[in-house]
Amino acid sequence: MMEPTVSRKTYLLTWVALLALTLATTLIGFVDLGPFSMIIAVALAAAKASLIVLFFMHALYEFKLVRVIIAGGIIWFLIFVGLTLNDYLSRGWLSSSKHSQVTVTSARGKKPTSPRSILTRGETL
Amino acid sequence: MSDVATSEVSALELREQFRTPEQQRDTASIGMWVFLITELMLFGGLFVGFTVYRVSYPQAFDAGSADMNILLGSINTAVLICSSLTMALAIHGIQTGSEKLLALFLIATIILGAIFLGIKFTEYYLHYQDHKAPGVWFEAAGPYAQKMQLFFVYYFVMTGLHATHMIIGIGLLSAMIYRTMLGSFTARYHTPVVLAGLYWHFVDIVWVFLYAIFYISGLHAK
Repeated sequence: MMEPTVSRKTYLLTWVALLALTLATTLIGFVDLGPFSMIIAVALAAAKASLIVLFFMHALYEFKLVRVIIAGGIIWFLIFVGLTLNDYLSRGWLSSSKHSQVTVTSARGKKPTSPRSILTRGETL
Repeated sequence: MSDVATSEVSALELREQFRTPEQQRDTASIGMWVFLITELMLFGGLFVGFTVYRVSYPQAFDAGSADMNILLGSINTAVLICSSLTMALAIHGIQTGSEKLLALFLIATIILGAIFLGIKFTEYYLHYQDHKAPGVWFEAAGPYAQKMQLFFVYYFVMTGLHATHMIIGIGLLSAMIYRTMLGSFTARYHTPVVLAGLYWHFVDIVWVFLYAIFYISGLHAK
């Protein structure tokens, strides 16, 4: 396949959009949105990253195998984040039920640590 | 078919293991993207670690984020975005056959990269003066003081790894300027510049995310 070429106008428009999204990220940061401030900041960063990958890095104009490699990498990273958070966020959900007392007891009979202790706030490191 | 293709380009432009220049370019492109995916996994581990602790101690991480210098951070983001534009324009320059534009925009990219590093190290110095260097000199008040150290550990490790990549990127671009001066690149053959550009843009993307996770969440608390 021939090397993809992108017009100077497309580059300049991408650049303007990136600067505008940066300004938006910063300005929205001054508003107290609780946990959503981080979510919105990361979502805007993802939008900026998409613009860079698609236009500056020519992914939009590349052949299929390159696009599959990029998509594979991103999906694999999302699995990485998703399954890790699936573990950490769900710890302690069952600690009040009878089942958890049975399931967390270790085979050697040692006293198990509470699953909730991972997320306890204010403890020392 | 292959004989026609090889006779049109010099040995420097087409290595013997490839049939056509297009095949050579595609192979290089795939290799670079696979490498960038491994880089994504390198930074990805740190991003996931940060996410886990950020989810575990949200108040402490917001308190740490409030100590960031938003002005310097935002300027640095803008500087890197501009350097990505000059990098893209450098490639556009050589695609249209202008070695002069390629060299000029590569130099501009390196200067912007150096400005970024200068501002970044100034920030490090200000954090040190502010006694926010975990393991060296860390002082913080309030109920979240101890967990704030975790925030700063991630901050220094992640931005430090990113700064290392910037230095490598500047080295790569310097090598590209040297090869431009030797006359290695033409409108038909300039794959190394494109690959160095991909690396530069990737490092820019990493910073975009670093800016989002470190600088923004504590802004409203200032």
